[in-house]
Amino acid sequence: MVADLLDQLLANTYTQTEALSRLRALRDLILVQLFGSKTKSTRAERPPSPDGMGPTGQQTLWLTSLDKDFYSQFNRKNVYGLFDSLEREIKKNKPLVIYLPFELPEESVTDLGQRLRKNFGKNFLAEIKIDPLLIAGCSLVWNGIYKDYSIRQKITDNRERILAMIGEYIKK
Amino acid sequence: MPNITALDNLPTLLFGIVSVTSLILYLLEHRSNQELVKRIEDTGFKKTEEKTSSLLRRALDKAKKIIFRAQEESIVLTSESKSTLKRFESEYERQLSQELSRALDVFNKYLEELKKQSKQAHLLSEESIKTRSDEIFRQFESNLSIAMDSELAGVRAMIEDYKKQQLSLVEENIIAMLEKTLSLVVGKKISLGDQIDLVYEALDKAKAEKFIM
Repeated sequence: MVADLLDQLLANTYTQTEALSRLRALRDLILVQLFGSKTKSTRAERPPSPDGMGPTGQQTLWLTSLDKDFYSQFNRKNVYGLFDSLEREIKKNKPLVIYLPFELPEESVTDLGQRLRKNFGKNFLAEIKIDPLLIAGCSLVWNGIYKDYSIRQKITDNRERILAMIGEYIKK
Repeated sequence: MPNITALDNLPTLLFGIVSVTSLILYLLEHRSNQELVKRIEDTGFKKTEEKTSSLLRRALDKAKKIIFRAQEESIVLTSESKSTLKRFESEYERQLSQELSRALDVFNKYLEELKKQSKQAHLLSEESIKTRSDEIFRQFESNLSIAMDSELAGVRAMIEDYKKQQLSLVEENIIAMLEKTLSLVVGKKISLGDQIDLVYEALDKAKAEKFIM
């Protein structure tokens, strides 16, 4: 049951941060649905997202994309247990950390996420971070190991050749 | 020297002995004459007186002769002893001067030898000092040249290190400038699609290298 819920939860969610954020929003919604308005204060305490739509905006779209069968699996008895399990499963998932020199737009994140799942399996999650010094390309962290595939690394790898070429140019 | 003193006193001694002997003889004679005189007195005074006087005269003559002889002998002895002493003195002087001259010769020879040896020693010491000072100077020269060479090598090594450090700094700066320039230019010149393509290339490469499994 948890696996099915997780699959549905992660169907259109490609980063761990977003997965946890959506899970929180889902939990708030379901708790309100099951227990009434006592949990409304938790939504109000959350800060607004930078895109202006607010966390409820984007997440509302996602929440409305989930079907009724999904919501029917939650009841007062199992809601907390299910959410704890779902959170644990999401956190257990090792994300691939991708450092990019630019900010990726939302649709490009989706494309990237789909490509990753195509290459590395279902429910594969990533974590996108910004490092402008990479110039172009990206660097990856997997299982605590860092590997640089950026233009910056290519310059470092070809440093001697570049310096030799500059030296020849200066001599001319 | 004590012999000479004894020789000096010998004539006197002889003279003394002879005189004493003469005196004793004289006294003996005199006594005998007195006895004779007494006998003569007893037996006939004139005869005996003549006899006695002739005896006395004879004794006196004899005594005189003896004394004269003793004097002569003592004179002869004295002169002989003086001449002997003179001979002895001259002989002694001669021998002494001979010995002195021999000793002087030996001493002079010894002095000469000493001079020669000291000269040789002086020459030897001069030579050894010269040799030693030459050796010390050569050693000093060699140590100095070694020290200077090592110092120069150290300085050259320091200069090389400094050059390498400066070159490495220049290279670092070149690379940093290149990266900065590229980061400014690439962001503007490369489209989003190309950027994303580069990312996908990196992911494919990571998969091919089995970095992500």
